[in-house]
Amino acid sequence: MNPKIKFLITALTLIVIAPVKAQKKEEVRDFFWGNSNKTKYDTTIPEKYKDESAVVINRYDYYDYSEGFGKVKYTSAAMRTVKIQDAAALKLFSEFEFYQNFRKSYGFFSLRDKTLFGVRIIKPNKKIIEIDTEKDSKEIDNKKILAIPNLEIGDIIDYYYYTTSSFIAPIYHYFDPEEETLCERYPVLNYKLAFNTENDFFVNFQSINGAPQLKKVDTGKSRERLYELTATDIPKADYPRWFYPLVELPGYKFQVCLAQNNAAEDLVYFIHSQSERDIKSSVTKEEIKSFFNKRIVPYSGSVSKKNLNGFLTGENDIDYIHAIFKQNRFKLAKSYDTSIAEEAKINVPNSLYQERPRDLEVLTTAMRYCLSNDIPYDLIIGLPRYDGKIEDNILATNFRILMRINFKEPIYLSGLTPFAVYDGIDPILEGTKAYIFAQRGSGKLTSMTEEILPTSTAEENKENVQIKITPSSDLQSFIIEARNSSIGHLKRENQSNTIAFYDFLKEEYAAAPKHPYEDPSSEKRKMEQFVKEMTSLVEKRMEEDKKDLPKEIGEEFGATVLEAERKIIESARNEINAPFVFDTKFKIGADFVKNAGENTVIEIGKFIGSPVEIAEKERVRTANIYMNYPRTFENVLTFEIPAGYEVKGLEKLNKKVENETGGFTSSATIQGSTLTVKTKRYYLHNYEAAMNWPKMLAFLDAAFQFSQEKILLKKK
Amino acid sequence: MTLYISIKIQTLRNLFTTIFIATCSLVLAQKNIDPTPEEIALAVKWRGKHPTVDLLERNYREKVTFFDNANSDGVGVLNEIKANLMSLSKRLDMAYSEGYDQESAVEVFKILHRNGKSTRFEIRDEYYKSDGLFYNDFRVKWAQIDFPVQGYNYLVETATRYKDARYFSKVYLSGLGLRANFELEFIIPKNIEISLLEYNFPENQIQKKETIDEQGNRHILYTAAEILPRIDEDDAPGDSYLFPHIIPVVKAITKNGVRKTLFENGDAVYAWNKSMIELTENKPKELKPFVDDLVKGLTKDEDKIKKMYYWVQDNIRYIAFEDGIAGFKPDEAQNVFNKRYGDCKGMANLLAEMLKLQGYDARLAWIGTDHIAYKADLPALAAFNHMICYLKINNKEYFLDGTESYTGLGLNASRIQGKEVLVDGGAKPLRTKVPVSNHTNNTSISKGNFKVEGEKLVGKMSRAFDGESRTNFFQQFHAFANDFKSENLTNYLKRYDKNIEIKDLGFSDLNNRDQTLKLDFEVIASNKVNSYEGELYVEFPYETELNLELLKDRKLPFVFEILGTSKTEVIIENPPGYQLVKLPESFSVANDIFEISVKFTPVTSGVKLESQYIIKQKTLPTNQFKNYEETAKKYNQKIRQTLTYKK
Repeated sequence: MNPKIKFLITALTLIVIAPVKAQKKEEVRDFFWGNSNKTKYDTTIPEKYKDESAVVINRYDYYDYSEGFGKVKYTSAAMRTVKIQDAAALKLFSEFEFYQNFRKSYGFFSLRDKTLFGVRIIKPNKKIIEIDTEKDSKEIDNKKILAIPNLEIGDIIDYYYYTTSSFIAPIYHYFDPEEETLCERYPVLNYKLAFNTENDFFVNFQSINGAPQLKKVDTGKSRERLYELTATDIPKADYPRWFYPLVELPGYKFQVCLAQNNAAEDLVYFIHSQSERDIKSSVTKEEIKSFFNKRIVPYSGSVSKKNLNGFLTGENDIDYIHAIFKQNRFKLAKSYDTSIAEEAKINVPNSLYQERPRDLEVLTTAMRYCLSNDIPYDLIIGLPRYDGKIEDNILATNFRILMRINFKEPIYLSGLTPFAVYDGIDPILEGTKAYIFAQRGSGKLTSMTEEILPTSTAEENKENVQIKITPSSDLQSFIIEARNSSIGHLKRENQSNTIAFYDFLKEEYAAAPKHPYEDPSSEKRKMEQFVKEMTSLVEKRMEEDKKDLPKEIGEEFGATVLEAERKIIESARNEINAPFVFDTKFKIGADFVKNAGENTVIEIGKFIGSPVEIAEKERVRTANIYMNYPRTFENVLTFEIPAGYEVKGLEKLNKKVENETGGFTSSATIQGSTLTVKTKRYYLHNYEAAMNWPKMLAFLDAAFQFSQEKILLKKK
Repeated sequence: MTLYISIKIQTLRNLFTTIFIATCSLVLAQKNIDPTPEEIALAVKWRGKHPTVDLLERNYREKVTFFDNANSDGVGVLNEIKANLMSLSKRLDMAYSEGYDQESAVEVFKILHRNGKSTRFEIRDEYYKSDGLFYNDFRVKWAQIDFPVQGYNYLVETATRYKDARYFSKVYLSGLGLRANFELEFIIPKNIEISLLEYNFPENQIQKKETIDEQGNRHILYTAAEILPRIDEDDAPGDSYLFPHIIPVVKAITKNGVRKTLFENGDAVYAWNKSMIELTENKPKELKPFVDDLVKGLTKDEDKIKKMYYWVQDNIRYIAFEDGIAGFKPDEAQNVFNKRYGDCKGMANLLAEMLKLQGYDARLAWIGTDHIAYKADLPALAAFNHMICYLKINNKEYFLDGTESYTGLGLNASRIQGKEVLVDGGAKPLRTKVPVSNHTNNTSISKGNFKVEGEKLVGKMSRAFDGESRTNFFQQFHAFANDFKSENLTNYLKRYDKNIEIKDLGFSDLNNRDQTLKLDFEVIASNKVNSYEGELYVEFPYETELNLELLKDRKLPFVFEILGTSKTEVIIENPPGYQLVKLPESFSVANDIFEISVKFTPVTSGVKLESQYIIKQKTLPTNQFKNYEETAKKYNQKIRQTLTYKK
């Protein structure tokens, strides 16, 4: 991580305090650069890294958690020793900004932080120049900036920051989880992660993907526990296309939690070990069950017809579940309205004001309905694919919760979104192993099984685009009319990219039992004011969106768009299987035209939009391939052949490459004066082993080649 | 406790970042702060007249009062502004601000509702980072304000006091919004001599009236029905070329019968600047061993000068501090040397000291870059914004700019070309001018020869860069990290076209700024040969189309990066057994600003394509936009022509 980024991140958690005592400064300096740091390392750069921009000779990340006199003290520190090997690295490491003192409140207790920052330069002749970071830095508002003097290519910059936070010890507190790969922008020759904890601090830690294991270091102090992970010669990060780093690369996950008594241990959102003396490196299914038993509790009230008045469209159980979702989605719409208005400093009438419904609220309400009506359902605890395997997970916050109602055709419910009655299985959980818990009468989790969650197919996640191209008489411009229709996960993605917040609110309010702007008379004036100001805001947004549309389409299409309009035909937010449909009409110039005397060459393949371009360096791949879901993209393009011309070169538009990873097919026919070109590109799975990459390349190359194909309009 | 479940939530497109701010839910007395029907009608009327203007600064009143500043023994100034800000668009969110620095203070900063009641806007006082400066003393008082509906309006009032009027460099008549019913008044006490220099005043739109009051003070009033807002666009000339403004030249003050001159003329500004460089305490002895070692073994002047000039370019990082006096006084040469960084003044000073150590008559020199419109004899600090090192040897002048990189000796960056230079000449300045480079000096020439091989075009290309074209290439290439250089260079040479493969790349020294940069490579171009029923349609493999959106929606003149010539010459050999059906059409447009052409010529082996893109004048005025756009469109059409062959 580059120092600026690291320091900015650090800065988010810092606060102001009195000037740091000189004694403390010396201690910290000694901690990294003095006798306290026993790690010695060679500064020689291996031949294989000579052409790198920079090499991290030593990286040391340190965390310390302690408690005393009613206060928690948390230290986050890092040191980097970096050999600068080119001008780009020199520029990057020339300037630092840091927040030495910062004040921030965390809920009911406030953190009190201070940061110490040290920099020194080691010249090629071994001369060490230490920078006075106090004297040489400039203060601007709440941060300091420092230009590093006398830094040159060939030098080693050796810097650290050391941040301590202290706050009144609550009964429990969990620190943010850390999930990181060992690799970073530059190769790392020596790496050490260390952390020190005391009683009452529970630690979950796991090395992942072959990273070295954590080792306990004997400090000679009974209360303290020091742990270290060390590694050497870590290559620089390389994140290819379709890749989940935490599944493939060596790294670690860890989280620390303070729990001062047994009651607190049950309150924290953290699955801890029996004793803080033990590092927890795995979590059993039983522990997960026990953990969620205390945390997923069905809604305590009743879910009746009356409560759902206006949202219920039938008497069947599934209608009730739909109504629960619709009611919550209506609340979600109001919460969007509220947050947009507040951001725009528009006063929100009390009757409209709505905080965002909690994600779990809709599930717990559905649970109550099911329990009351003896409808069997399961709770599913899953883990996103990018986080690895569920049996390896040690971080409670990584789990995802689903509910499966076992109707004849089971339905899956997860969090609320503006786009569907219920959301099905998040694609990021598809095909993963999950733990299934039944919850019956008492509301307690009972039986527990394992299952592989269903995976959608490429056919179920499909986008179909019908494109009609009408050339101008001189063939120098084209009117393009496209109807985009999508289902499955592509539907959700397209909805997210196309439906503006005002479209969502308008539709949601129109379908509600009562429009929320129809306010009781006590707030009449306030509501009128709100509506007036909100209408103005929406009109302004619509104007801006209309103005931005040609550019947006142009970037997607790979051509200069001269004018454009877009219309949503069917938002399909209430019918899970109905396609989301929108029309786009726009005009482009001669971007795809090659003039050949009286004839014209048309780059017909480019009318299906920008293809996936695989760069040369991507062609060799050793990492496995992780995509979000299987999917299909279909295009049906009709081209109006101008009078007096005939089309040549259709044969090149017929392609077919299909294999077990996916495929690309295309065909072209002429009927009357219309050329019709059909294409289909599909990815059969959400995962492919690296060895299948050549097979994917085969159809991706075919799709790219199609995009380069041309037809000749030959004068008759 | 609140249960935290991490479930990914889709966010709606165009949704504001959802920051939940606990706002007071009390209903404001909207009645007197909402716009009246008349005000809404007014906003609609102005919007109809100026559809792209969002903000109206109505009844704009600015007062600039100079005063005898007893504390500084000079002239101070109080700048007061009052206006009614009105939204002409349906909704408007904007920051209203007033800047200041060590020499000034914002004494009044008020934003009131239209009825005079106070607003709830948080007024912040923050450091303001100026482009290109690492640290400066600019600060800004500001508030984020919103106009919820069309016609909504606020009363604003600010007052900023400057201790020394010499730092009060200019007053723009135009602002963020359209200023209507505009008045700008200068009040000059009778004992203070100030002249007001007017720039970019639109013809017959601004009225000026001068009166003298009973105390003998001058009142100069500028009025206008409306003044169009300032526009901010990339690649535009500096504001001082475009928008109406006034530079007050503070000439003298008379106290107790004694006349004290201030910036009476350009020489006075020079004297002041000179006094600043005299504060610099250089210790050249500290540099001597290094400099001697650096030029060791070199005998020719040119070689020694290059060695020192290039060392500064390559080893001193540009990091600028501009706070207080540091904005005018160069940092000591030994400091810049030891820190390995400095601003333009520090770098010029270090270079001058290094050159002096080797016996050269190097001087510091002040210059205004092409970003500012003023001449070097303007009696104001606004005349200069840059410092270089001036060297004259054997009657040849060199303008050495340490802030440049990869710039060869004798080449001058585009931004200082043609600008007047004030050189440290002791008691009196030397005045000279940086020569203007010609488009023939900055060249990028590509040549190639291609054959049709199956459905590919295969050939060899050579590219050569000189002058600022070479400098630009080097600057971009060396900015890449080592591990990305090769990939980026290849992509550049491929022109980011996936159909092109580059092989056998060879190049001249990528650090040598004194010779032509040459790159030779083989090109294999796919999808450029199209075969239809025995006819071949061959495209040109190595040509770039012009950006047709360069001037889209643009309102200000466009400034090209450099004057230069880019030429491509490619021969495509006739495929064996085929005959060319017809030579594609050539095309050429030439005027004082640009020359753009495509030419097809039959040669023995096939067809030669010559394309050229020449920029002869840096600024493209708005009245030439249509011409340029039509030329670019036509150029693209012609370059897209294919060669058609029959058997």
